[in-house]
Amino acid sequence: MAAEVPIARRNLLADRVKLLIALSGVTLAVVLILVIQSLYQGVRRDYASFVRSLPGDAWVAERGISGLTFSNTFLTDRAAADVETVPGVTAVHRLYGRLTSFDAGGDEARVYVWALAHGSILTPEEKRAIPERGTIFIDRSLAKQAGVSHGDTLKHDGSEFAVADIGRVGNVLIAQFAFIHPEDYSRLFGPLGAANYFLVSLAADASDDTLEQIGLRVDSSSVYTAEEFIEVAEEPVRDFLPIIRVIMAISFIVGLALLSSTIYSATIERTREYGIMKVLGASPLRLYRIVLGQSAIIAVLGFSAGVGLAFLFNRVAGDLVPEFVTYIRWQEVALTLGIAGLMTLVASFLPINRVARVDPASVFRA
Amino acid sequence: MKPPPNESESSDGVVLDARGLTKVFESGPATVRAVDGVDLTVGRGEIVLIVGPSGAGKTTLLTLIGGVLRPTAGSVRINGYDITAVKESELTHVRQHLVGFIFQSFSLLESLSSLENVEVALNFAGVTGTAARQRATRLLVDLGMEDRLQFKPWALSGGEKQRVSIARALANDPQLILADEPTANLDSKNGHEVVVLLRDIAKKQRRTVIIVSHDQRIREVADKVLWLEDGRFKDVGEQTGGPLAAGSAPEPRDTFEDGG
Repeated sequence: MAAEVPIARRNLLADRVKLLIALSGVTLAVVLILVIQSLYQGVRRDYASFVRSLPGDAWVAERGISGLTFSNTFLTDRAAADVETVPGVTAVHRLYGRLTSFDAGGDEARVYVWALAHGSILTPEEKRAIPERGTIFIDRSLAKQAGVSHGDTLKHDGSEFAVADIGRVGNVLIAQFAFIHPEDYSRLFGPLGAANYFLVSLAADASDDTLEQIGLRVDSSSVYTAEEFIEVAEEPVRDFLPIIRVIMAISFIVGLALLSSTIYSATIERTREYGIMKVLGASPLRLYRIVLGQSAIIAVLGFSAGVGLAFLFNRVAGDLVPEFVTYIRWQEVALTLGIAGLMTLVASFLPINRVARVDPASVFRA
Repeated sequence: MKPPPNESESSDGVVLDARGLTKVFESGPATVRAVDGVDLTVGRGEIVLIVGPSGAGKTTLLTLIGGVLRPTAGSVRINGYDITAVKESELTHVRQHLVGFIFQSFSLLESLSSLENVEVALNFAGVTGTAARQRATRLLVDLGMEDRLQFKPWALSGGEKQRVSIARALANDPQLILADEPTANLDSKNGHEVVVLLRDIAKKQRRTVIIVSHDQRIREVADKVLWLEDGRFKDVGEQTGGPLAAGSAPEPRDTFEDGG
């Protein structure tokens, strides 16, 4: 389509203060929505990467657990021995974990420490999940908080651990995750005893009912695939969803209010001009397009600025606050674009109604 | 049903033919017959001046002729095309192609430049891009606005605004021009220039011009002066034409030599 006079753009640029106010509102809404979403997704991603980084095809836990660290689950050595007898099971690894504190550059850092006692020879990939004695794998948040990098040491009750890996494990907002060798774990917290989880490796030709059989061997247990366990681990995070939705709704309303008021007042101020355009032969559809165009310009600019600022904010906040782990997925960006589109439509509704009712004859009343 | 092209003027040279045109406004129990059974026939190249007291229905008549208001009764034919018989949506075509409006208060779009104000009228009629820009530029240059093409309305004088308004009215080459008090907001010099332009539009471009005005100077160029009172023509006098009628008076510039 050949170029037409961009009336919507010209109208907006004619009052730059209002344009700036509306733009700020939409940008703020987009930033809030994206940052909140990215925080949620950041924690989810860390949970998922934690589960996926460990060996085993199935997770065994006590029945009724919710989340990885918010419920206690204890599984005995006897149960592990029973699981090993299930046809198709090649190994049962025991996962131990507890919340403790590390000295983080003078401050105390709450760390969820894990240790994996493997039940068979691990693949090189699986081996990389287990640190050597005297070493520790920590997440990026703890590294930032403690001010340590690869090769530095972290202290716990007089014991020192050399940082051997940063970034393999994630955090859970209130505490970071770390991995140590099971012997170090035993030295810090006493004999290993009951495990928190079993990670079960299965043979390639294991039958479909192997997981069911494992469940039957361990009283009051639940057996999950790794992907199913990610869902379980994320449950406490999902508890935040209603709060996230409220914040998103508030952001939407703030953005919408500023956008709507700008578009509405811009339309009211130009009521006579819409009448003039009707007299000149502008079709109603063309006039609605001008109103929608004004809304859409602000929404698109606000969305673009908001996405850019959200990435910038996450980076700066992540540097200043180590626990601020975020992950912006294209799905959230698309959702936010959809929200901006919805703002455009809703903000245009009343002004379009107003334009529809403008009497062109009113132009002749000087 | 699309309106006929401007060139398909009725064979008898009549551009406007209004019959029994009536407009009644109802507001609660009150009923006002703003236009009451008006008949009006105007030929090509004619200038008709409609005068009358305030509230006589002059502007209402103009809006009925231009398809802005729907009559309560009667018909309006422009180039033989009955605009009172078309659907509301088709009236936009009428206003785009058959009629050009000139307003007392210029009625320019404030956020657009002079050039864009003319271009939008072309855009509404489906002419876009370079074609619209070139046509709008030519019209404004013809009206002596070559140095004001990019000026916004607030930066223009009253006379310049009215020139932009006239260029916009001519944009889609309509056969019928309707002007509502076109000199009321202008000083003497600019008012005179606008009168000359309207005369040229009628006499050089052979367009039909209907003017509602109290300006005595327009009498000098009008072919017909009609007195409207209480919604009716009271007396129809043929205008012999004053010093401006034949185009002999001094002109601001020689406009429309190529027919616009």
